[in-house]
Amino acid sequence: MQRFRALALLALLLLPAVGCAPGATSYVRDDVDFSYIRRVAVFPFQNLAQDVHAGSRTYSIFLAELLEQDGLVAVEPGEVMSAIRELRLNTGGPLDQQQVVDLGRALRADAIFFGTIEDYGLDSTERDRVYMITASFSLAETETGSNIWSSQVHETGSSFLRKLFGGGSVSMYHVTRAAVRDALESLF
Amino acid sequence: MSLRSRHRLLLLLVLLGGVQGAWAIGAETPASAGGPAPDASPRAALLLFMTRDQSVLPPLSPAEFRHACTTHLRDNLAAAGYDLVAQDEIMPLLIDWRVRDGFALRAGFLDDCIRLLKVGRIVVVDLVVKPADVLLLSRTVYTRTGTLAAVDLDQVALGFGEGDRDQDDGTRWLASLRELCDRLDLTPRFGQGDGSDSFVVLPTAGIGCSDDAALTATYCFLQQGQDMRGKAFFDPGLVLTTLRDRGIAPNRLDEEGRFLLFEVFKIRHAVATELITYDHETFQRGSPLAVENPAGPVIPSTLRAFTVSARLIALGSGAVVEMVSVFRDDAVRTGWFGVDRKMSLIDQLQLTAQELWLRFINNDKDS
Repeated sequence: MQRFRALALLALLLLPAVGCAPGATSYVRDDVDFSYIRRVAVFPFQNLAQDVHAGSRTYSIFLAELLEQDGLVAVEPGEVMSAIRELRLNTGGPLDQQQVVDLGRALRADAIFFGTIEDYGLDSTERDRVYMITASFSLAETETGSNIWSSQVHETGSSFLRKLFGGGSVSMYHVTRAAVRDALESLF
Repeated sequence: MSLRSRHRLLLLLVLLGGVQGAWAIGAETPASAGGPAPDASPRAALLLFMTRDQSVLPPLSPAEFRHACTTHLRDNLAAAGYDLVAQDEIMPLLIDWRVRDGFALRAGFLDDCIRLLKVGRIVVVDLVVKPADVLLLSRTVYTRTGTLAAVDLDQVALGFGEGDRDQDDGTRWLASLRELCDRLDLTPRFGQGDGSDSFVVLPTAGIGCSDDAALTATYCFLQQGQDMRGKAFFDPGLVLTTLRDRGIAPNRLDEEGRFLLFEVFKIRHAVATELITYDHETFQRGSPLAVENPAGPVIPSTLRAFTVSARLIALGSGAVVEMVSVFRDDAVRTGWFGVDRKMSLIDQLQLTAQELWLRFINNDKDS
């Protein structure tokens, strides 16, 4: 009985660490052949966070991580911006299917990545200075403009072990990179 | 055939590996102005541009500052054997060609410098005055080829203590400026016949940082790149004006822009660099309800945590061929007995540029 109580107490103590554990929730359309996707573009990320530069910072990390994948070619962001301007697209919200098709045609891209930064910066729920990011990413193929992959990810700079041994948060850059890697892992 | 279709066809030819320069489409630039470049004329021009942090109120006026710096640099250049044209001589050209900053050098301006003033080299110096430091960023441009003969940069701390800033009558500012001018190495490292690198470098775009930090990053990237690769770059000011004069922003390098760069500079790749800061507390957007603190970023004067990334863009396809990113978070290092040692902006950016180029070169070898 005492052993059971000790186990229950331990589980109770570990509960806060597990309750908001970082990780990604993903959806991949299983009827799509991803091997035909060679040339991709990354649409400027929508930023819902307080930090005005959260979108640009995450975009740069996302692009760098994407280019780590073999066989994938990314369109230069400047070219994407130019096409957005030419097609008069709004970067502040989602695109409809026809707009995705048009943009894909203008950029000669097989698919386009989108991203939304929902929360970014210091975690206000933590007592210590801990960085965190909550973001969602998606991929739309440009033949029909339909969504073929999406992932929502939450990552913090703290961990149970770090808390236990008094370590501080890892930097915002590393938190963002870990989040992007988590998200892309479900695709590649 | 429409202009757009013609662009596409020519870009396809680039992709297929057409011989560089086989279709010299006739854009008259310093790079294509003359055949093999003879040694540069010893005549040179000095162009000084000053950027001042608005929060800095030195006892000297900007005009006094500029005059003192110009005088020191002219003396040093004359001692090094430069035959400098008088400022009055070059001024009409600066006005005619609207050269308002160090990155507004147009091909026509360089041509006029040769034709009217027999100037072989232009020494462009950016003087940056910050609250605690003064920075000098310099590059020497060959007027005939538009390539960089040398890039150098340095900074000096003003060393003001608590309360003694207001008591200085300008003597310490001038002494620091002289020290800085003396330290600047303006010796050409590349001849104009050395040829240029196989790509152009675009000025660094700054995200969440001050303009002078992005400017300093550009110089660091150029200097380290030239030294480590052993090849001269085309002047990024020339690249910038080539694009801007056709209404193309460097951060929106589209098909027309890529074709233009290929046509003018006869290169296949461009490198776009970005400096992104992660200095968080200073970048929180104010509450939209707050009257005293309206929304908008606050720019810090120093860098703490930042990344510098470089993208190699294929001008033929518009694809990012390679991307390298370096993160640094060591602006303040704690040494013995807990004493903090702050790294200067230039040191931070030089180390980052060095690492970036090293990875770029290694990746190039691997592929």
